[in-house]
Amino acid sequence: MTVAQRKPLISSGTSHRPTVKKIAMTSVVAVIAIAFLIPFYWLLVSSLREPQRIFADAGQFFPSSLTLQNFRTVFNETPVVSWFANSVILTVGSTVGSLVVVTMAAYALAQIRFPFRNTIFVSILASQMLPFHLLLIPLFLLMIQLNLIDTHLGVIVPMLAHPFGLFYMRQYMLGLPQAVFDAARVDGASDYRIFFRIVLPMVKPALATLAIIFALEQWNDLLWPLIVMRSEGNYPLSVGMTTLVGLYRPRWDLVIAVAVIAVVPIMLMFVLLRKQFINGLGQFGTGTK
Amino acid sequence: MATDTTHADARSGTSPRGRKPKRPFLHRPAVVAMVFLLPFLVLYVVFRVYAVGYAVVLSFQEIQGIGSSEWTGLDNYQRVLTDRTGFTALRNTMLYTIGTLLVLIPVPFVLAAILRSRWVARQSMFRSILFLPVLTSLVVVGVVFSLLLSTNGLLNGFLGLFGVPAQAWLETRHLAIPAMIIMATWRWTGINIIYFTTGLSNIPNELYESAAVDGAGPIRQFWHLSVPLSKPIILFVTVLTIFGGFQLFVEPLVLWGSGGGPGQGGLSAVVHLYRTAFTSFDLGYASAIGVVLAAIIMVFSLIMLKAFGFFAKDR
Repeated sequence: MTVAQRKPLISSGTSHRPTVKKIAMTSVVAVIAIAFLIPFYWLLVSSLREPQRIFADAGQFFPSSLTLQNFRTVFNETPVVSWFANSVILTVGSTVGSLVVVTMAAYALAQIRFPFRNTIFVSILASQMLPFHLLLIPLFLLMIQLNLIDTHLGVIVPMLAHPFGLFYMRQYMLGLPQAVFDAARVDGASDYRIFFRIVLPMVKPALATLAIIFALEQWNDLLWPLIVMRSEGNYPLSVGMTTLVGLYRPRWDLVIAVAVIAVVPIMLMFVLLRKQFINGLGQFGTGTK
Repeated sequence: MATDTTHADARSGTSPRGRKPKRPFLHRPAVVAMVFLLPFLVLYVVFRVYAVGYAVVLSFQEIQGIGSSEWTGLDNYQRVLTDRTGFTALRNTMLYTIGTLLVLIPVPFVLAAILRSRWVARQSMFRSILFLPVLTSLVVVGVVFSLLLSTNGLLNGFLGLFGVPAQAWLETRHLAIPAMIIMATWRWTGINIIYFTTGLSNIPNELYESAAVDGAGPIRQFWHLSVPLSKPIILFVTVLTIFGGFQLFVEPLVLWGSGGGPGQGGLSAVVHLYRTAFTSFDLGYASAIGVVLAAIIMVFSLIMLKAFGFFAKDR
């Protein structure tokens, strides 16, 4: 499933010079693309305005003066460095954890025959259809009972069993050449050996795709960390921003600076791994969490 | 691939899987399967299966503080039926979901078709640009659009060029949902373009070629080939959009806190649940709201699947 570049309409093959139609259509698309870029520009430019100009100049395309004042303030007045570190910890922790758990389970479901295999698989998959809000209160109470409130583990652990991740990895493993596994078994290799020596190297592309999806989901998530994390020093960036907006007098100068800090790492990753991002997310129902 | 043939004792393992009776315990297929499956299964059973059951149990209780609860039967569900704020929240959420469906299916579909036609240059660059918002967190979306939709903000400035008077998008009750639909359009168009592009590229080229031979122009090809043959992917995106729409939470929370905005015009069902649970600490009642909302989402998704004839095929 890749984003194919095939043209749906027969290419006339007569001339390669851009036609009027082509120029017109491309211009229309370009205008839409520019409109989609404006919010990014606006975020950046607003972060560089003086605090009192942020809303006063909210309609000014070009700022009268630029300043890094907001970034200085955010470093002085908020634990934004801790927030960033927490976002990194949560993202790395939940990504690595999910990959381990999902890959192991996918191997069992793809390669080993055992009783109730399909029943287990289908019921796990069906749970993807559970809206997350339904789990909110029971999980909150569970975290209290497990003493995991206000801890990184409390944010990470309940989300590790990712049903669609399991589905994706299982499908990928089913697509591997069966002959390799049969040969290894004939040679007397155990399942443990097969898993580490054969399967893991072969599923690297799937691991990369899932890593991008898990990481992006966790980096951007608000609802669950908002409930688990109680003390300011434990917030990830998303929760930090939300509390700054939620103040009696919202501190937009700080909010916007944090928003820039939250967006830049993802944009850098996207520049490096554009294809993987688009193909990976294109295979997933994202935003269902 | 290295298959490790060092102890090439090929005769001993005649059949690949589990037919030999005398395997060590840890190498029996069922045991091996359990070892691999166990971490996922434990997490799944505790944090999904048990949690859902727990949510249903809680919905029949009144919780006074953590640890003390009282069975109240169907009281919570009766309260749901007479919860006027709840109905406002549900109506808002449905309007938002319908609005996003009306925008986020046709617009990305047409864009996907245009973006792979021979009339557009630099296709993958444009696709990447439209994809960028998909990477941003919904919190950031809320923050940016607080600026863009403010009364003297860019959108009003743009509309002013066409003589539209400035709107207080975020302070007017009936504009709260349209404002969030505008945000959703920016946030989700790119990913839906990718879904539809994948769907469209699975349609065989020969169909377009023979349609062209029969004299069908691009518009007719679009309506009579692209649209009907994309039915499965349209269904997929529709269900995703319904599912996401009903779970609207972050944007209203960032824009208006848990208060629901002007005249509660921006109160979503999940914000209502969140407020009931974590501001009023009425956990039993909030659970009942959650169960009812989940049921509504299921029913809507099933209706959509039925409408698209999903159950007619044997899949």
